[in-house]
Amino acid sequence: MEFWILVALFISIIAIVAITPLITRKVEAFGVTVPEGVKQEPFVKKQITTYITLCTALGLVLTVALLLLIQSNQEESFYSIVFSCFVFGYMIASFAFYYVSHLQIKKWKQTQSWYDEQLTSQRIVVQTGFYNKRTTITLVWYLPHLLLVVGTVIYSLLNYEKFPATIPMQYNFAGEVTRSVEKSLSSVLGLSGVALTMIVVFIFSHISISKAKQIVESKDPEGSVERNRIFRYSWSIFLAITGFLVIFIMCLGQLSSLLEISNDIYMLVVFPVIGVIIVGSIVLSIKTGQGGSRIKLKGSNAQSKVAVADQDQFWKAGVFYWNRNDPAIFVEKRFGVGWTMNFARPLSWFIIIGIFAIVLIPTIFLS
Amino acid sequence: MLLAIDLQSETPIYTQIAQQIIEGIAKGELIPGEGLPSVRALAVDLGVNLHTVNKAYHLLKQDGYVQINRKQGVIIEPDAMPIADEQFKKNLLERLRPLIAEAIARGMEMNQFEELVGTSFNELLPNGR
Repeated sequence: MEFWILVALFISIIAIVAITPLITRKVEAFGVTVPEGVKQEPFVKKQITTYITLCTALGLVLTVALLLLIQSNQEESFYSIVFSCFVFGYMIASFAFYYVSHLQIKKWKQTQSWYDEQLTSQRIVVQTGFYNKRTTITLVWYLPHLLLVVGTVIYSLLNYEKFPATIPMQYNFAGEVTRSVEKSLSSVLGLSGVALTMIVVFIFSHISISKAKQIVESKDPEGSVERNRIFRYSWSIFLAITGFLVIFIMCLGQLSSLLEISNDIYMLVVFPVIGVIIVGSIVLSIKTGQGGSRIKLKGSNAQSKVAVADQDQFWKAGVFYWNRNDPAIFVEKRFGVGWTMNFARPLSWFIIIGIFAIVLIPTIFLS
Repeated sequence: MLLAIDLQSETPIYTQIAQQIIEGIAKGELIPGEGLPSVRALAVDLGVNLHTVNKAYHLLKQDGYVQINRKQGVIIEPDAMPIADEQFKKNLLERLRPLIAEAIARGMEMNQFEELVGTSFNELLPNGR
């Protein structure tokens, strides 16, 4: 049964990758800034169709291959490696598909009449009132997460005697324990530690949402800013809920032997929760679109217009933001839903290394 | 309000920011007591150096258009906007003279100049009267 989870996970990845061009902003086509409406033109439409077709076709082929491999009953470690290779390979291939379209649209843009018009009016526009209303929920919403972990730690310490003499650390797909360690404070509380670092990562993501650089679109500027506020707010709620579910799973895992929850029952909780998180993120991506571009506002003034500079020269390959003069660390992705970083700033690299460190060090420490 | 700056312009960016905020006040798009973004937030959104924004805010503070305080951050002067006193009028005249001279040198009539002034004056009034 557990193999089907891998297949489901793989199909979700295919779905997210394949629909990306449809949920980016209306002013971005494959990482290139275009005026609104241009995405409806045959040239761009053809690129989008090609990309989606290629991503879906390759995804289907790989899914069939994965299903055939599952039938062949190999070692479990073999499957983990195959699955990682498939996911990684699929990411690289889909980036190649993206990049071909990116280059074509970039070239095509130079030949368009609106290209020259834009160059004459390179203006950067911001809404000064953007931060006067909340863009995210407050950090207080992470208090339940923290209390849950603290409660779990206290409960575990009070019932330390009742924990079994060996603590299982790893299971295989069949739900059998493949590695266990002797009972100790660190092995009993290990998952709480991981949960705490997860809270740090979630709070960090929350802050990146609220600090991200503002984008004002040239058509309906006020509306685009308002949509962006709704977008940030919705994702900060989603993030807090996802965070709580993840923390809950970890705390439940730590207490499973005390509460006499078998691994099978535990998995019956874990898989639906992961499913809800994945489906939720896909649905929210489609509902909001990148930056809130798919949100419909009532009574917005679609007539007003300002000339906004395209920042194409700072987007390497259309996906990596590189601008030395920009103090911004967090910026909205161009191709995809969510945020990325200004890689020209050393702080961005420190943050990436920092996150890897706080996630990896406990894992290494525990094993 | 929507604040727009032109990176290619010969006018320094801090001047552009300060001028636009004053324009926002004139048009009534920025109301007394309204909060402006923090120095960091505005610098991030515009993609310019923090010092540039800081300089603009300090210029505005010097002229009395904004207040900068620790708790509320930067706000549009809530109580008493600076007034057009004698000192201001003298200063204004000084800044106008070279522009008028240029207009005369290019053969503009007084009523043509006045027409231009009148048009932009009306444009900058609240609700574009």
